[in-house]
Amino acid sequence: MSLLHAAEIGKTFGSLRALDEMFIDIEAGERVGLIGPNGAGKTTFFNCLLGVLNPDSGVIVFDGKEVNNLPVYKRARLGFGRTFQRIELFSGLTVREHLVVAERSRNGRGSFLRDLIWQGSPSKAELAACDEVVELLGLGDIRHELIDSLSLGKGRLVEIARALMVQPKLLLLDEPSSGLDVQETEAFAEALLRIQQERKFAILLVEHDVDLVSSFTQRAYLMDLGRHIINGATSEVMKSEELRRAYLGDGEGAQQ
Amino acid sequence: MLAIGAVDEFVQAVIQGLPVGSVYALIAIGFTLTYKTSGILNLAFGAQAYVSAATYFELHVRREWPIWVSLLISVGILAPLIGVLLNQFVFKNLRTASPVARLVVTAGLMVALPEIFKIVTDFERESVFGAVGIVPDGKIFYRIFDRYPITRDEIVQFTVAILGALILFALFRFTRLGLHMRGVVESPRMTELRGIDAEKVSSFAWGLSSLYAGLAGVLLCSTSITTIEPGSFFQLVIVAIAAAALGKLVSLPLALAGGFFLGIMNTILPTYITPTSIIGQNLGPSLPFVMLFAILVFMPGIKASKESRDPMAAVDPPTDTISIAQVSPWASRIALIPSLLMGVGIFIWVLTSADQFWMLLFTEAVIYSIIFLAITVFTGMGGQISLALTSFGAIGAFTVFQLTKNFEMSSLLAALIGAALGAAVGALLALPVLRLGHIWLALATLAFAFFFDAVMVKFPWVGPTSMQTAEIPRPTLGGLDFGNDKSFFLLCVVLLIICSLFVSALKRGTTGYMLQALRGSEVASQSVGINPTRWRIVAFAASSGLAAFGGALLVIGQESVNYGSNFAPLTGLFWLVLVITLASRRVSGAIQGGVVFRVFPDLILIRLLHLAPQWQFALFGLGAINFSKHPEGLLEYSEQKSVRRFDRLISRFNARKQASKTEVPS
Ligand SMILES: Nc1ncnc2c1ncn2[C@@H]1O[C@H](COP(=O)(O)OP(=O)(O)O)[C@@H](O)[C@H]1O
Ligand SMILES: [Mg+2]
Repeated sequence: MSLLHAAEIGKTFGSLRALDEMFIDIEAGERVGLIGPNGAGKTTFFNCLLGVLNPDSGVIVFDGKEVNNLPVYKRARLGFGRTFQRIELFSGLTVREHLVVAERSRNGRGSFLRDLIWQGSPSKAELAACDEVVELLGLGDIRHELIDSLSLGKGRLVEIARALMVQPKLLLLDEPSSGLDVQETEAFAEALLRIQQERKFAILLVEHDVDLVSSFTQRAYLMDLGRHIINGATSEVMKSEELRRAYLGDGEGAQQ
Repeated sequence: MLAIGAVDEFVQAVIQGLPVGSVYALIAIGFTLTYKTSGILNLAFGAQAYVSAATYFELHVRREWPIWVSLLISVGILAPLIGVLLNQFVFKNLRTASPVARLVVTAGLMVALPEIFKIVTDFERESVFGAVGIVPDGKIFYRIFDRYPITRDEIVQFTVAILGALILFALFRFTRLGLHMRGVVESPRMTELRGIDAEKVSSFAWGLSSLYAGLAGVLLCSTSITTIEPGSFFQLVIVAIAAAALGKLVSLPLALAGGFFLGIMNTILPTYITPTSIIGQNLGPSLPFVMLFAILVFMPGIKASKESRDPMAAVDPPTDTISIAQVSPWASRIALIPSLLMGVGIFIWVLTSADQFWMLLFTEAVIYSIIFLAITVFTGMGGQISLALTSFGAIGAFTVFQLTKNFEMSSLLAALIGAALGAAVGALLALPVLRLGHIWLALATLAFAFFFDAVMVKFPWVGPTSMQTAEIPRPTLGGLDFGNDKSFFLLCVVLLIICSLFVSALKRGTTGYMLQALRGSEVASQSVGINPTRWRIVAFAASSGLAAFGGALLVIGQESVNYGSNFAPLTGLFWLVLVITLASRRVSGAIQGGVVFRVFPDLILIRLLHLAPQWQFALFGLGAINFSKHPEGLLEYSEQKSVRRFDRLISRFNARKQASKTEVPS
């Protein structure tokens, strides 16, 4: 039984068939890529998996449980972690406070009534858990900085750190390289790989940039115009005629 | 026979509703026009209508100038001028401001504009009754099909409003500027990219919208509005929002249809409700609010339409966030010392040497601070706006009234029950409205506040009836009797301290973290498992409970309910804008707000400067406008400035120490 199984996912926007019979299967601990040219429907699919969008049809099973009708936050509690294509941080909080929020949400120990008896501040154990992840991502020097003053590259690391706090079984990343230069992307991929091997969660990397996917993932799915084209070992998919056609056929130009 | 009677009644209602409906339609397109061209929900729309209507009244009724001259000046010249000026000096700068900031500024203008007008023209010096229309002998009536009566005023109203709407559509269709405007309405950014002068277009849109506001104001004076006072015109903006919401704020034709629909509903609905029931007697004037509330809560897609953005929105720079200057924590603590010292100083002065007048004034300042903590929680922490604070204050007050009257309960215990009841009602109200988010949420609470004001208050199990004396006893606790003003003042100070600690605890605890996260990014919060509804309900209930508690204390202090002077809905807007413009993020901001609200007008404006009380509204409006430049609040802004200066001083001192250290070895 795979960790994530999604099948026959369809989604229509007005008259646009954004997803048509799209599917994916991900095993525990696996690194999977989802590639396709701009407008292929990757983000739409991603959002359907997470519950941000409701697909018109199809079934999504996560860790043996059907999650079709669960809201986003409940799926998150089951083990979906994510980052955003356009970075989404909590303005006004420091780096470490981002993790405190996530940790609180995970352990469910906070409540209005506890706040009232002054038991609401983060405990030593919670801070220690946050600091561990902060160090893991090399954010130690800036843990007390306000998020608003950080660079995009650091912001992406904070997003990962925040997602890790809820101990995801599957981490979904939507175009993490967008807005980063080559070096930043490399540093990012290197950090992510290290952590993934330590913590053994699965990754779904949604990318338009073929390079990152080919160096980072073991298996890949190619989609275009809302449909699945092929899937298989990343190296096979990269060499395939279909990939060349999907990227060149769109007049996009393959990424190198 | 019965069937014919019913049809007859229906046709009659439609014919009566059409003239008002046509004016509503005019309002709806005027309102939508500026919303679409500048993204601003203009709450001051009714105030603009008031200014034109009052000018027309002044010129035509009081000075007996000819109709056309009065009309030309009040509607043809003054109205568009106001629109263009407001755009130039206020709205233009709001394009990149947060939704909260935009709302605060227009709410401030809504209160300030009529008061500024009154100060400038000395308008309310005599009776404002007896408004007239724009034709002589407007009350003469004709019969349609020899059957349904309609007055000359109504015919004119209908004709002029329809002409106004037609002219707009002709403009759109046949002129270059209209074409550009239509482009801007569809996608402001797209048009900017194409090099169309968006400035000119938006200036024109504001002028036109304001002209429609003025025209609608004057037209309504002949039928539904008889007193020229700002309150009567406030309804207009609610109608406009309701109609525009029916068109989901996206389309002018739909907004137009929405206006007609509301106008006709306005006359039809009352015929189906028993006129002698409390609802029947009071629903009429509040119908627009009820409809707005119903539309917001029940119409599917309102939330979606909030989010459906400009097709070109992807090219937007990320919305700017209020950046908080980072300073060393103890520097900001030191900066609090002056206000703390001042607070203690005032406290000692009130206890030792204040006479009864000042004692009561400061007691109320303390009580208002408690009410304003509700704003700290919901707006400062939650980043959302509730315009129903007065309703919750009144819920607390009424609870105390009912419990002390019927059960002879101690008023302090009754106040606590009132707070709990306020929190419960808040949680209930939150369920349908919180999903709306931001602006729509604020509007739904506003509609609720006016509905509460017009209908709920009248029920004998809610408020005191006019026959009852609304007296409320001061509490006793153990052997202490708080009938004495000094001991009551002390009690309130203690309660304020408790409430402040309560809010600080929320702020530092999970609630504060969760709300800050939700405020930063709702999708990201959900992605780590936060349930947004839960924490928003907590915030709304806590805030409503605080407002109710404060409202209860307020009437205990005054020893009588005084609903009208304490809890009128517009007062709530005033509170909100005041606290937000000062500092809504900190507990101390609420306390400063309480003092400014209750003491400042009496002390500074009236005693020292000898100004008319209206000046406080005018000044307050200017403060609100300024808010767009300092969204963290004026007090916080100035404090931050001094903290930063202090911080720099410290770092310079440190640097020098460092330098002298490194110099030694070299
Ligand atoms: N909310 C939406 N409404 C209408 N169309 C949409 C919406 N979201 C995406 N689309 C369309 O669906 C298609 C797929 O978009 P997307 O999933 O963002 O592609 P990708 O992430 O692969 O670049 C595009 O044509 C896009 O314009
Ligand atoms: Mg995408």
